[in-house]
Amino acid sequence: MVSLTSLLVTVSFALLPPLLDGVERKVKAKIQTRYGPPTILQTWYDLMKLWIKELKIPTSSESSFLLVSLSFLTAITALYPLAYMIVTLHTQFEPLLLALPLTLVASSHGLMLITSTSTSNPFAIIGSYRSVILTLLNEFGLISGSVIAIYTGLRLLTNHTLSTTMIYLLSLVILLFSTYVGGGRLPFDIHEAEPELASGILIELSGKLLALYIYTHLLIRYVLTLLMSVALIAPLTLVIATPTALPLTLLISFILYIAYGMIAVALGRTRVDIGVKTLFIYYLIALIVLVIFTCLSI
Amino acid sequence: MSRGFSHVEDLKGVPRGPRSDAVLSRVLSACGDSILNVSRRGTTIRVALKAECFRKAVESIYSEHDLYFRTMAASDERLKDGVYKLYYVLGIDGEGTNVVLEVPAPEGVEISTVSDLFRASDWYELEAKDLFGINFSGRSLRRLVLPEDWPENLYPLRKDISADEIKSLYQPQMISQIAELGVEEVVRVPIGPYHPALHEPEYFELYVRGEKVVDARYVGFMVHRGIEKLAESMKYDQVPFLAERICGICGFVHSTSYVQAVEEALGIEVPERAQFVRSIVLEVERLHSHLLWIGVALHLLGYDTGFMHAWRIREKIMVLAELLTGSRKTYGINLVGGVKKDVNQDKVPKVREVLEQLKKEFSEFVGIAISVPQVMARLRGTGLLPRGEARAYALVGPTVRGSGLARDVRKDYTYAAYHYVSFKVPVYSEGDNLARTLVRVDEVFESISIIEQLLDMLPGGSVMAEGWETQPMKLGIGAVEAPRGEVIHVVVTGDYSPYRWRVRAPTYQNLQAVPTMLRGVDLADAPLTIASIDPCFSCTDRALIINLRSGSVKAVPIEVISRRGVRSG
Repeated sequence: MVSLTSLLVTVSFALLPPLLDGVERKVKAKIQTRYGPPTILQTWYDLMKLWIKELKIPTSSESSFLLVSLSFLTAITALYPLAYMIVTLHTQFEPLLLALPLTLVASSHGLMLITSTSTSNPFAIIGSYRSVILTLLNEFGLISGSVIAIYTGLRLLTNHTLSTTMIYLLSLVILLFSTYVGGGRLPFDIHEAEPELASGILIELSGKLLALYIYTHLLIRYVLTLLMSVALIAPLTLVIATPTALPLTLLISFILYIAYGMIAVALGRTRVDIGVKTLFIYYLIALIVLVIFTCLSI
Repeated sequence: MSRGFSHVEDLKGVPRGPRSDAVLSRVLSACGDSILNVSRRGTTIRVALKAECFRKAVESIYSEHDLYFRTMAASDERLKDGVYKLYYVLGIDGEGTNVVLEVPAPEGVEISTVSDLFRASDWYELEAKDLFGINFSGRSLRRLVLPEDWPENLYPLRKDISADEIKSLYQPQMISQIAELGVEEVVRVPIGPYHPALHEPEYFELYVRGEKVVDARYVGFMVHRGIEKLAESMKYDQVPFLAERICGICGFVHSTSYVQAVEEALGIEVPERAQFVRSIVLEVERLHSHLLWIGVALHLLGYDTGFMHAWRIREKIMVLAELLTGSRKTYGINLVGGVKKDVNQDKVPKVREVLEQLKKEFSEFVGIAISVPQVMARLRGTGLLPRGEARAYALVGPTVRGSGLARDVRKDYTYAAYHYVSFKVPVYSEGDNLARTLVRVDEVFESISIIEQLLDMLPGGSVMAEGWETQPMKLGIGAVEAPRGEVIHVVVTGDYSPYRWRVRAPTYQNLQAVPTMLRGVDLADAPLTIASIDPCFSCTDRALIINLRSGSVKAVPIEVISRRGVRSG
């Protein structure tokens, strides 16, 4: 029963990202004093329009359709353990459920990067390398942030010392930062960077391939947002049941997704050297503080 | 002053400053009997000298600190004098005078290059070779303006060949080249390869190591439109409308430069009110151009919110332009001798209201936009152009003012109604992208102030000169401080049409310094650095990145990139 519920939740989650993107586009347009898309369904319409276009395989990258499809499936699969985790969070917590989405998101990223490099387009290659550097660094924040936040969050009600609370809050900050960066929003969209790289890793994709890529990209964004939402509701899971936890997670993920979009509107694009340096310094400081608090709690 | 040269016109009584005296005297001393004639008209001293003495003359003056290579116009005057002529226009900043070195170039005679002395003259010499077949000694010559497949010995601006003959003798080879590349379906699209950083045709090869640009090469003139040739078959008052179509953003500066050149050549007195109208419209054009640039620059930095707001504010100026001239763009009000549309007094309060609003909104907007961390981090310290380089390349506009040189035609060679108003010339000495941005930001406020002052002082009277007569073979120079820098037009008059019309846009001057600015920047900052001169090409854009490690540095067409990419290219 739990598995079936989780599957249904997964399917619902999978349909959400293009819709959320539509809302984000409307909000962005409002901030930028323009009309924006006519409806919040616009991203869905865009995807459908791209999907009915002919399939164009980038030259010298015959396996690109397979790779993009695999990446899409991997991203969608990452939703299942998260859905399962949300449904069962008040009764049990399986560490595997946390490891799975992280691994699947990383795999999805990896498959997409292989697609870009295999096209041999210089812009796509440069974009991929930028993405690799940023992702490798960000994975650290994503893994450490999510593991520590969810673990300490789940134990916060039973062990609410100052240092545990501080560890939880700090790991939330790390996770917030890493899920934002992982979503490829400004200022960290340097792998696409339209002005200098002519859209970088996207440049060789069109029609069905582009539709799949965009959908995958939105799914990954949503998976990361869900991860953050789970970390946020983790301390409440012992006092709320699944029927409440699920809509609460959905609501938080919706707010977070749009908030991320609004932050992006206020920022410009970073440079690969500045971005990596900034991220490294942030994570290093956070790690040091985290170690200090962990030592204190012991 | 004439030092015994009987052919030197007596210049006594003609007001001029000590600098032009000094420059003239050096040229006269250096060339002696090789001086053919010296004359003066308005603020221009014209020195005709024999070709063999030309380099010596330039050597004697090129190191003058305030001498500025403004432009050079080649002209086919074989029908009249049996020779080609080169007009080197050297400005003396601060004094507002020009020294024009007029060099006759008989068929087959090589002219000594001065590109090692005036670095900015490099392209002008190449262009004279391309379009007139004039040879220069002491330098290597390559194609600059004409395409690689242009026939040998076909010089399009010579008088003995018509535009129709040129069309019959040259057919672009693009189709066959594409066919050779093996592209299955050839579709004729008149835009060609493009790159999203700039929306006009140009070609940069950036040589990168990692993400660091180590060198850059520029190839342009992909859509040379031959308008100078076209103007030779048009009447004087038709040309302003053609001139205004040179630029899709600041066309009015071109029509103004052209009419000013003709007015100077023919000694036409332009009514004061017309001068005021021209100045107002020129400043309106600067406002919308600068806001456009600021928006694009922010877009290149990924700050699209800034881009949207810059263009939202700009829209008010476009409406203002429409209110004043009847058009948002390509105003079409300039004629030789004045303007054909007056500023209606009823519109003045509305103009003031818009300017007030603009001042407030722009001030708020720019305060936020410049303080966005990524914007500031990527503007500061990137695209460095030292003052010495800026001077050596004779750069113009915000590009040179961002490198510490206060060069502004409105002050230095004042024209229209600018001598009636008080304004500052913003100068920053850092020479980076931030400095060039701040110059433009400050200029927005200055332009608003200038328009307000001009409206306060708007005189009455006619906006058109009574009438004027043409006189052939008169030389006129018209210069305007465009948003991108000095636009300068040189006109040699004909009986019914300009005999020779030479247009020099500011980008022509500024582009030569872009490779210098690009060296050492990160790839991510290259688009902004290129854009920081506010280049004006005319249609699409193309950038090609070649990794030095691969050893491949040849120009690769877009079809090849799309089919094979960098590995096999």
